[in-house]
Amino acid sequence: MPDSIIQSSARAGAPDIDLDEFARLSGAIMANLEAVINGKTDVATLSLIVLLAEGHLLVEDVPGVGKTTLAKALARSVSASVSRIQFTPDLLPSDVTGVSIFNQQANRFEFKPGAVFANIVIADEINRASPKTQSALLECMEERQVSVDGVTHLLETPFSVVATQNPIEMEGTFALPEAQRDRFMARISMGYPDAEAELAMLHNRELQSPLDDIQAVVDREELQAMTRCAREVFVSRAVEQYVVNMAQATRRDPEVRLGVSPRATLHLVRAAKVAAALEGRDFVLPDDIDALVIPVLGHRIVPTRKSVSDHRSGVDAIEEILTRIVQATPVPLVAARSL
Amino acid sequence: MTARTRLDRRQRQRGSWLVSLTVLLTIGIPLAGLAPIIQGSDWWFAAMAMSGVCVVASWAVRASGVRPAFGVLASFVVWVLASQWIFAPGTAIAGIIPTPATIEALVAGFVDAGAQIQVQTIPADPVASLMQLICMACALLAVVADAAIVARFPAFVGLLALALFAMPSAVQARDVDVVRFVATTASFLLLLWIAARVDGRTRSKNRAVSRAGRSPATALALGAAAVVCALIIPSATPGLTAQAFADSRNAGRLPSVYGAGIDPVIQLGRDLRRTTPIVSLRYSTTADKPLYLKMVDLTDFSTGAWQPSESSDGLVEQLPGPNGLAEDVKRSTATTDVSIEGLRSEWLPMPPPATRLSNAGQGWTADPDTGVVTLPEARNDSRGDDYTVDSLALTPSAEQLASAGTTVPPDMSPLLQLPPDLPAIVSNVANQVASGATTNYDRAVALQSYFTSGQFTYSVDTPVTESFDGSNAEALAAFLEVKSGYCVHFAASMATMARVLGIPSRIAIGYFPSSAASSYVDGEPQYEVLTDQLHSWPELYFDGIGWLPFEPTPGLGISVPAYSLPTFAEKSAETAAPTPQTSEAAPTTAPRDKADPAAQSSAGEARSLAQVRGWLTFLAIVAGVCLAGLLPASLRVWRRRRFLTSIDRSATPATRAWWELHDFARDFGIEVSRGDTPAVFAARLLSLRRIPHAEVDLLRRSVEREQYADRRGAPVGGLERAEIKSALIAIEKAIRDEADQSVRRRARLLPASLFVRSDRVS
Repeated sequence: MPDSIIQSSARAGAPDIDLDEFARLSGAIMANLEAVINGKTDVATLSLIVLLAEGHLLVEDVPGVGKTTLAKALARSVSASVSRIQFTPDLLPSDVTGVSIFNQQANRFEFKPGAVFANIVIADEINRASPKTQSALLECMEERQVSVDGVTHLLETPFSVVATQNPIEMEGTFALPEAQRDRFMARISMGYPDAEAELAMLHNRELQSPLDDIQAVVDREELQAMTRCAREVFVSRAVEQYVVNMAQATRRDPEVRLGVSPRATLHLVRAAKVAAALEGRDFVLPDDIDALVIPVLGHRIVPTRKSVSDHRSGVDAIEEILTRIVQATPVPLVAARSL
Repeated sequence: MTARTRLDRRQRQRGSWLVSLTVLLTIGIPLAGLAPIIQGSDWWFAAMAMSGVCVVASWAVRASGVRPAFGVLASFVVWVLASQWIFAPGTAIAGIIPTPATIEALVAGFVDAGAQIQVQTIPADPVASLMQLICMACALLAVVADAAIVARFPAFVGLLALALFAMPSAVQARDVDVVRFVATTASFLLLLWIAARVDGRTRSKNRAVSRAGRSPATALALGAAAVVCALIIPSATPGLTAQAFADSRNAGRLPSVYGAGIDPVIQLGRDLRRTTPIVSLRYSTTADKPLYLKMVDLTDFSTGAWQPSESSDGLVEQLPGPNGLAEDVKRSTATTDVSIEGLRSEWLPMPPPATRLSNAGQGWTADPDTGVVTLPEARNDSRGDDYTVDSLALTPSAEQLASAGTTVPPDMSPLLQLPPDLPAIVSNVANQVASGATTNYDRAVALQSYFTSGQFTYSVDTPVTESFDGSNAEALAAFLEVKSGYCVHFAASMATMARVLGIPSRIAIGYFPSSAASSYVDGEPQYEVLTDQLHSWPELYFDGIGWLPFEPTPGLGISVPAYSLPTFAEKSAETAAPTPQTSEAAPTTAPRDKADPAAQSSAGEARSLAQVRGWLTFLAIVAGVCLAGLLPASLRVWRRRRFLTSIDRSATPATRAWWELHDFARDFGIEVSRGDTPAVFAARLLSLRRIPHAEVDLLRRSVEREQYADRRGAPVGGLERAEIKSALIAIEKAIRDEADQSVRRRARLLPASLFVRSDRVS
């Protein structure tokens, strides 16, 4: 199982770190990210959370707001292998996964690894590729392995896909299949920078790209140690119950056609653990969950056609539904019996 | 919070119930003015109790923080409920929804009350229906007054108070009771002042400048000026008093016997119809039997209505001797001590014919013709008077009576005057009845026999229903046709018919003799004279004997004078020793045909018993409602105490404290959602101004650690518990300080947290 592989490989690597060290390292990464995308702390935090929670990130927005820059900054902050696939309609699945080529000298097939063989894979404009190519990423993302010609090749650890995509309403895009969307831990939207940030950006990028200045601040082992540290954050029964209640509420909601999967529940808790660790806390609060519900669950929910009207887009509808669910789901406060 | 705002709030709080209390006072004080009109004081307390409950209901509802209009609605609902519970018990559906039967019962009560007002005299007996009228009217006034306060129109309450105040004065036509007037006015001014202060404060909260005309000082000054005018104008304009109005209304009519301005004859009828008689006076006498007591004579019938004569100057503190009494008529003297109790009269009741009056005070005068004693104007209220009268009991012989013949002294001719328009029936009947009689005495006996022979029945109601209540000529004609009436009709008919037959006559008004002594002091009988003994009888003049009373009224069980019986002449001839007949010699007196009084009184008893039951039910319900009203508050107190105790003992003290904080916030109208995380709720609390941030953070962090951190097996220290508790108390205090008075009151009385489904897990 991928989890056990990761754990075993991680345990073999760097020493354990505590929350203070975690804070120092995460602070350094955050500094890198914020240098690139001015004034978008929450986006930076969220991308870091996904990285440390060993999830895949889907950055969705209109062109030119810094999606790729964010993905690159995230990848460069970690001294890990980074590859980038520019998805186009004519991209073939084998371009992603790799291909077996007959080596005439050796008189055998040799596997040429595709772009997916890296620690951080930037899948740029993922929804411009055909569904077939998109689905090639499926196996990689979930099982962290590639099977070509009956041979299974394990991917490197850590492995994280940072995909960017344009809103599906844009020209020349293919909607990401539900199954693939479900494999992304979170979807974030960049949003336009505010006037001040945009002004600063003009000034800063006059001479050079801020990406040039980015140094790797965390190596692979440290990243794994951080991941492990976040995994040890405590999740109480109450919070687990809360998450399950919320997941079930999405499945029961009359405005929702497709509720969230159990994988989503898992992702939510995992992300919440990192969020708690980023705040220096060794336990998850319901507030951590609440803050992550929209980015983690939002892209997995399919609202009913009725709930999407002329007045609100699908995204707005989903945000409203989730906000309602968050407010309605009781936060358990369990008290021990009076002694 | 500054000391000033705290003071303001406290005053505002006191203001609101003070206003309610003053409304009650402003209604209650003028209401007390009805005391001389209505017996006892139960009615006042009952009316105030009902009004009080209405006003308190309004106050309680307003205090709970809802719109003030709901308070008015509540008081009205309470008024309706109380009315139907007490005065129409058992008619409402589930005791709440009035039915047509309820309205019927209440209307019947009002109709009866109207009849009682017609029938009863002052002081009235507060029978069930009158009680209903007083209580419902007073409570409704209180409801309206309360509504006026809510509508910020407190001056209107003054009108209500004035109406209440004027009522007893109008009924009694007395001078205004200054003390009561000042008290009423003072309470009204107090009300204005308090209302203006409360109003002003709420106003100045919203507006920087309050209008000058609304300031308490101005209101008070205006009110005070009005009172001073009201006090000065009547005294500065002589003649403009209640008495003056009464007098002008009475011009050309009779002076009063009981209340001012009411025909004594009509009044007499009303007194007779009292359901519960009261004691008018008591007397003890040396006479061997109870006595007639006469107050006034009606001698003048020339105008068509029997009236006292407009006599010339009276004799000052001196009685005239018995008029026309010859020396040889047998007589005995009796001395009678009279003590007046409930009777309000300007004439003194005395056994006729009185020869001497002593201890009656200064300034009384006696009519030289009739001997009627009138009190001086300064003390025209006889209540409390004690005096001694010497009187004669005449026992003329049959010969003396017969020898009077038909002689009439010339000075008696005014007492033969008849109105020109006397209905023919009167003289026809008179002549017919006395056709065989030759002497005046025989005619008189024949007349009395005519009335007591059984053709006539005694009834106090017939004249009212047949609308001939009174003693004028038309009433007499009606009476002679209907042959049913009461003493006034019998007396006036006999007196009139006597005049037709040439016998000088007059009508005496007073009391008929009590049937038995109520007690004995030193062997001397003491007699009680009740209002329903009020009576009138004819007195006829016989030459050489003087005035002799007759008794034509049947059915009262009164012993008839022996000389007035047809058998008197024969008996005295047989025995040749005429003795005065005593009570057993009353053959013509039919048994009291007032068999219905017993039924009446038992019905009355049943009615008042039902009313007592109604009041008890009402009180029980009020007590129950009060208790039920306090129940939520006590439940909440108990729950809070349980939470506070559990902070000391529970393994999760912070969570317990948080729960309590949730409840407390709910009580004070702060939103608490089941979806709130501790941080969200804490943020909401922190948006309040006075909340201590450190305490909220401490409590929130404790809860979060307790709920979500991995602290299995880590015991909670006593210090931590103490911190949690003091933080909780500090936060709660801050929430309370921040809230409005109404919110606080609602939080205390109707804690919202009790009505929220708990989602807590233990």
